[in-house]
Amino acid sequence: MPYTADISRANPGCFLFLIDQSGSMAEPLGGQNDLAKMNGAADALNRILDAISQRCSQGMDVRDYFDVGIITYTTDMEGNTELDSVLPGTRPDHPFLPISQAVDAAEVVERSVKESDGAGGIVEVSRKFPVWLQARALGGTPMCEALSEAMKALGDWTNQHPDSYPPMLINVSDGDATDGDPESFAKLIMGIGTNDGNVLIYNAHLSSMSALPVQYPTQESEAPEDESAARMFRMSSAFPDPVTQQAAAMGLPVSEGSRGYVYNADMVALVQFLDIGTRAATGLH
Amino acid sequence: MPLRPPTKFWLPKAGNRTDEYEDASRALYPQRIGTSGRGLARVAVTDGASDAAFAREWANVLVDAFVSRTPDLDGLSPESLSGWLEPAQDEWHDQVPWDRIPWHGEAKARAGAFATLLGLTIGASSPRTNRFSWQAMAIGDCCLFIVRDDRLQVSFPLEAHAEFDNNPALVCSNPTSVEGLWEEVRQDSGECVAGDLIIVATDAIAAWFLAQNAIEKKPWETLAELQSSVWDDWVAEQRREGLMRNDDTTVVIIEVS
Repeated sequence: MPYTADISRANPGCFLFLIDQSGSMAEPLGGQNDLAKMNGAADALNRILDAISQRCSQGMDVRDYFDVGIITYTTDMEGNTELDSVLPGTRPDHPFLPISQAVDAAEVVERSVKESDGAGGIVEVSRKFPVWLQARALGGTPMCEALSEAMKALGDWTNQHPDSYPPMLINVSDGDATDGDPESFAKLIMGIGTNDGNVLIYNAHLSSMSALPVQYPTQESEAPEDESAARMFRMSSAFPDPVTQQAAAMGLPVSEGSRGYVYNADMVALVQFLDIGTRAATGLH
Repeated sequence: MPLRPPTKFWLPKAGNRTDEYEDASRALYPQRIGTSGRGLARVAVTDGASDAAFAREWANVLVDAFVSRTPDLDGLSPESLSGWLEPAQDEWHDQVPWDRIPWHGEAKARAGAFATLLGLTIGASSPRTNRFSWQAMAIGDCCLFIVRDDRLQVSFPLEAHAEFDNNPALVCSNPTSVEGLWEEVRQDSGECVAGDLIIVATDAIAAWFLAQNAIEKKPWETLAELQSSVWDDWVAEQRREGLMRNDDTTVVIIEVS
């Protein structure tokens, strides 16, 4: 059965993030005048990668259960595509680092947050947050070129890891490509894979429209009425059955046929559905 | 000596180092098997959840606690279980280097480590007979098997290969996270006699055992004949052939003679 491979250091999983840094990302996120989409995008990447790092942490060190890559896409003043591979020592055609090295590349900032004190009260405590990506918004949206580059990188990765759980490509964008129709590129990427299944594409759609947030819809009609939302929905993979089952068991709003698409909503929970051995998160609390 | 010293085999998950092995097992035999208290033979196995931080430490603390200050299994209650766990949880807390934990490990360490547990005691049924009585408690999917007359007599707490998954019940090292634990505790007891084979195993080899038994392969014969010199190769072969899940693998075997 596909999408059942154990994720281990011998057969690691893979996350590749594509982050839209075009000028339109400077606009506010729908319904939130004090938060620009570019901040939402950086925040989404930093939080998902934080969650992956924590899943791989054994306390003092990190096990290389995943390779991760981050590619940002925009254009320069002349309109030429700019793809940047964020992790140190990587290139857009070779964007990956083992998660333990990605962890070392994070800048760690301390912020005070309010947390439950476990006895019904709230306490303010200092917590550390890793930052890989700063917000940036300038230029066009060469999503097709970014997907094309991602396809090459993922093709190489799947060739090198034929028995691994299939890679997950997470695209964070406001959805309006300026270099063509990205849907056809997404379909091509969904055609490559490992022996355990094809690449999964998940889209975190950040929009300035103030439509209600949407998480993991099953049909195009559940996405907001907007051509870019419909396209991003079609560019998103349906969750494999094991993911749907885990996600439903953990109380997420998913059903058979749900797609990895969120609209102005959070995607961090996705990381919790991946099996990397005896699970503690759903154990007794 | 009617209860032979236990044979213990263990092997980390393929691809992991020995210091990354997160199962643990202990066996403590008294000089002379008695009917209760310190006269009982005690065996414990555990599987630390690999998805947690400092799981190896917790696994070792738990099995040490079971054999060194065995809970009263006759009178086990939610309160006595919590009371028994508390010193173990304190010990785990003392072993965690809180001031040196990197950012990625902080939240997990605060949440606590998790592990399954199977504890077994064996005592003389009465001072003058050659019969033994056993009691076991389990949280999660470590298993106890007792084989008599070439048949599997006891399979506790799981009875079929299909019952194993990646979400077993777990004991947490964080005392604020033991709500609902009592509902997951399984207990069983019985007698064993000369000739019985007692096997205590963590999930990967327990699942293998039950799958083999289901197709009448008599897995206890394989285990009883195993020598430590071939154990690693034998496990590797089962994993390669897809008969045993690639996971930390631990088994304790006791012959009653």
